[in-house]
Amino acid sequence: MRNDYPFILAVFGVVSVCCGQVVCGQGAIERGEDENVSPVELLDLARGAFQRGDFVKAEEVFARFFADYGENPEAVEALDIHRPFLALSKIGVGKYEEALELINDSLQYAKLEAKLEDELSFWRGICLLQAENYPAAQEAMGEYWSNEKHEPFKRYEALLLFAGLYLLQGFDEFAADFLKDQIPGMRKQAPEAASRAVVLRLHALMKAGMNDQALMLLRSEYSSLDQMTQVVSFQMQVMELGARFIEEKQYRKALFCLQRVWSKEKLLKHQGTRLIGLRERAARLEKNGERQAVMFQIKSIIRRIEREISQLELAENFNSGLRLRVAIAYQTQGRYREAALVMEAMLRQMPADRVVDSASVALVQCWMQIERWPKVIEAADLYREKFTLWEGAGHLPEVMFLKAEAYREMKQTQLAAAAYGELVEKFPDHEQAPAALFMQAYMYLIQDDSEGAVYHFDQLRAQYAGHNLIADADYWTGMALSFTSEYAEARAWMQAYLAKHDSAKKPAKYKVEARFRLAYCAFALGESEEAIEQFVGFTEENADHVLIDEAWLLLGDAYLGEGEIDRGIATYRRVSPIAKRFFEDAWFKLGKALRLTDRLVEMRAHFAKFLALYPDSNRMPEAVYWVGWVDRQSGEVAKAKQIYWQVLKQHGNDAKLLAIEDLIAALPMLYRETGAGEQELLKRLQQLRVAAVARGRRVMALRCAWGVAQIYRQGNKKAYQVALLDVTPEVDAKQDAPRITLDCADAQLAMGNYHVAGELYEEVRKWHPRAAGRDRVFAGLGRIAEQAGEVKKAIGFYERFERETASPQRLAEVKLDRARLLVSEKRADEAMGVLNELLENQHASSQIKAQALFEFGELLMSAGEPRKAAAYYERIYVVYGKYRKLVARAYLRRGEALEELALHAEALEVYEELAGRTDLHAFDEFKKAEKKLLEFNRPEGVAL
Amino acid sequence: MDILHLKNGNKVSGKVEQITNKTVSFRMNIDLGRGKRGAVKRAVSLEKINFIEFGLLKNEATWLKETGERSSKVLRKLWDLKVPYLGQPKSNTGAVGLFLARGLLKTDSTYHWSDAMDLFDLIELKSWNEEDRKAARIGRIRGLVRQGKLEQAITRGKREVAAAKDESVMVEVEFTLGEIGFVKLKALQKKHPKWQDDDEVLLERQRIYNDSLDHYLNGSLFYATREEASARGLMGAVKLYHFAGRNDEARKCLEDVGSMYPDSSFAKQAVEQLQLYHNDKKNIIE
Repeated sequence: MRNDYPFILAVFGVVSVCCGQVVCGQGAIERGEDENVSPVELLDLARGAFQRGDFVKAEEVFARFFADYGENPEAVEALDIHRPFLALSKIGVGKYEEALELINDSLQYAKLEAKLEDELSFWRGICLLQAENYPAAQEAMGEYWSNEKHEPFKRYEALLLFAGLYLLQGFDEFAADFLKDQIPGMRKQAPEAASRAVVLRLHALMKAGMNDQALMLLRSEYSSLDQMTQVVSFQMQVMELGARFIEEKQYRKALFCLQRVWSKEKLLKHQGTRLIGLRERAARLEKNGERQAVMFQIKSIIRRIEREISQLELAENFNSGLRLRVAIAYQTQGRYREAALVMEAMLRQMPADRVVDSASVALVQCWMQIERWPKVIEAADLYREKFTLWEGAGHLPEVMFLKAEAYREMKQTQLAAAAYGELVEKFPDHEQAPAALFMQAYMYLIQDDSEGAVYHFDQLRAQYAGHNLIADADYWTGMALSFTSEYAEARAWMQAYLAKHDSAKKPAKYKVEARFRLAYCAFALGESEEAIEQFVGFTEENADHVLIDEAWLLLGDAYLGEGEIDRGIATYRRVSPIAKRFFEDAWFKLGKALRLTDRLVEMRAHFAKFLALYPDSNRMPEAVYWVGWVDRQSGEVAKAKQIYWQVLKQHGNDAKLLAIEDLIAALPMLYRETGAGEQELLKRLQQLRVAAVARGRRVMALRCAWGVAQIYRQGNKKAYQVALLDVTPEVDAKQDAPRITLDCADAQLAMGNYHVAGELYEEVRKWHPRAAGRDRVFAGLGRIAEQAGEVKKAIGFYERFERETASPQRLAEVKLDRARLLVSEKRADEAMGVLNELLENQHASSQIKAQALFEFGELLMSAGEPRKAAAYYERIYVVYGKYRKLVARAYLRRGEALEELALHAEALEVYEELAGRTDLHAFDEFKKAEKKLLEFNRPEGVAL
Repeated sequence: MDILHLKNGNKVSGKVEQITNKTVSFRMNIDLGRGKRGAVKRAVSLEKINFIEFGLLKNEATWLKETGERSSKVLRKLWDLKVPYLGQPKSNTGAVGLFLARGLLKTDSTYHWSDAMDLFDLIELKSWNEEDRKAARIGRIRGLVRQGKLEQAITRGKREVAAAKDESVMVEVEFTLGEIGFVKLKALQKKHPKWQDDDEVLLERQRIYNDSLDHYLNGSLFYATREEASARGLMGAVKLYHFAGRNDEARKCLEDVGSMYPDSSFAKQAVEQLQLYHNDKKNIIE
């Protein structure tokens, strides 16, 4: 029997199409004992049993009658009359073959009742089906259908069975075509049967491999899904169809199918509601004495739905399996975003099960694929929340590792290190633990914490000896030591690394790098001979390696260290221009070598060539300097300055050459150095500017005006600012050097022109987000926001400044500003953190530290801790006496703090001390102290 | 003519003139005999009424078909006449109000936008029709977008998504959130043309870009049977991908629309754009 047999029977519920429709006549005698009964009594017993639906008994008794009286000519009529009931009883107990013979005989009986004929004709087909005589069964069903007098409900059942028999005989396409033709007619007459026909047709199409036609059927039937009796069967087939399309790589068709399958809950709810409605309807009809045929149909539908519901309830992972298929359909196409969104919904909405578990790992991987790092972290956390306590969740270590990777990609190295470390701590035996420990160590290295890195590499060696990452750990340990200038140890590590991990058969992964590092360490230790030998060997063997240019540079240095100048120079010349930084280093070192050997003509030509070839280099002004230096050495002072003007005239109008600003900025010092004075410089700049304006050389003209401002930068702050204010209208922030725009912005800010300043800062940020000096943008915008009362915004800008700036002095100033704002926002903990950082910061000036102490005091006062605050105030005037204004404030506030503590005698002492400081008499605090003293010394009851 | 359906099964035809919280007053025509007809005023207690089947007002059908400038004026007139019945079952007042409000949002006048918002508020509060109330909530979000109050629109939209159990609302709101995101993305990139070089701006840009795409794709991923809405969302994703220079991803979404939503109103446009891809031409989508 083909696999679709159970399916087909399920579609029809044939097994439960029972004989109960037929009335056998009332059983006159109901008795327990049927031994020694008369034929009439026997028939009564049998009929009674039949009527009750006790087919076992009915079959037994009828069979006995036939056995006892089958040959009796007087019983012929009785036999003819009751033969159908025996047949139906045998069907009731599943004896189809026996029933078939009886049915055939019964149908020959001329006086057979129409209703019995109807029933037997139908069951003949069933019996043939059960006997697997499919052609005959199909013929029987066809005959049944074609007789329009037959019961309509069963006629349509016969039609469906007819189609089903095609399937059983392997004529899948025939079945599909047949149903296609019949369904439109069925819809009008028997819509319920038509809906089952649709389900059967879908089954047939899929069996025939006609997947596209199955898809078309889905398209046409989807809108009436809620009318379908066996919607669950239909939907499960649709799910299967979707899976097939995935296998065939027809993903859009797969998605079309899968996205039209309801969730298990929706299916159960839908069918459950339907069932309730049908049961209520059945009860009503039964009460009203509705026709048995109608009742029977409704009960058949009820049975089918009940069966579907119980099958669905048993289905495990239905929803998660469905969603995962949708995700796979997207993922396999490389559409990771869509796959991830589907799986993310699974992780959020569905209970933990093995499918959701697998999908969640795939989710994290999909986010990784499209580099949505925040989503990786979010998914990892969600997974952890859901699956930590779930038995069988073996993917937590993988997910934790990916979370750490996401942090690493986001350059949040501290968080990455912590995440890797957490994995190692929680799952030390997991296969990813060694990799996690390695990466943790590496994160420390990235953060310039070589000690931390070495410690963790040691842990890796200790805990996972023999692992293949040990070699990497050994190499990077050596590198970490090198970074902290522990060159002797670094060299020892690199030698050990090569000895342990390098062989002719299997070269070490970092063999070349290790050899470079050995040479480097020798050089760093001042062992020039050794370094030369190592570097020569290295350069001979690794001409194409990425480290080659650095090697040439260091070799050149080593030669110079040994006094082999010519060799050094020749080596410097080997550095490739492609390695820009090393190339320029080499150029300048070569120049220095020429200088040291008094080859000044060559030196001048060398740097002049640099100017000609690389005017866009950031080191162009340095080259100009050296050309001028040579001229000065030769006594040609005018010529020394001339090179600056020559370069300026040649390249001054090219906005892209940012080094021109450095050149111009160097001019004031040059003119002071050579005793020519600022006036001459001013005159020349003004002349150059006039000429530039006349020729429409806007950028040159602007630079000259800016150059004028630079003259005043050191000595005359006001003139400097005025000059920049004058320049501002000419600035085109998009094109011009950020340095110029920022200077103008700072000047505008200092003059209180916040709007103009703000626009300039924003323009620099807009057009030059990576510019050197971009930290000034955030400092400026922070000031403007602070001035406008937008405290949160200001704090944000200051934080950004602190991240961007490379100026320790400026950093301390801005940190102090941020601390003040945090205090005003009552973010005391954060403020204290910042102030403590300032006090520990070696680069912070003493003035900043004094101010930080004062802010600390203010913070403690507002937190209701005057005792601690008093100590901070005291430190200011004891340690930082030169900041008189601050000292005066500190005195006064300490006095007030002591008053709050009711330590009036001590407070009085402080006020007296302040009042005794004549150097502070100009400050308001001094006067306040005097007033305080009067208050303290005033007799009671006497007003001031 | 309006029809009052009474709870006793009877119906009365008349023209409703006033509805208070207790009675409905209406005018009905009566036959005075000898070919004469008259009108009388009647009142019925609200308790006796099941619902009122409101007939169209004079010219209402014509007014509802008006387009262009005249449309707002006539709709306003219609709204003013009908607004007393906003809460009455079967009244089409809510629909009229929504029509009017949507038209007002399409204009360039901030006063009109403000008017539209008031209409949405009133309909959400008073309309008897749940569908109209839902539509008003969505309209309000769109109104906030029109007014440039993007953050408010986002907050309201997200609240709506979290609370809504109705797919139609969720799909609409998700699409609107996608649209808002696209507006914000364009504004950000205009303000920071070198956004790739500014770490902070880059992060924010990526967040807006990704969130917007997620919202646009939401329909086709989770409500795929709502074909028109799903196709619309995919086309939103197409224009966003184009803007970001991600033409390959855009092409895949166009293919989705063409093959999975062939009956949607966007299918033709999708097919045309795909043709351009195949011809190696770029199509700039706004």
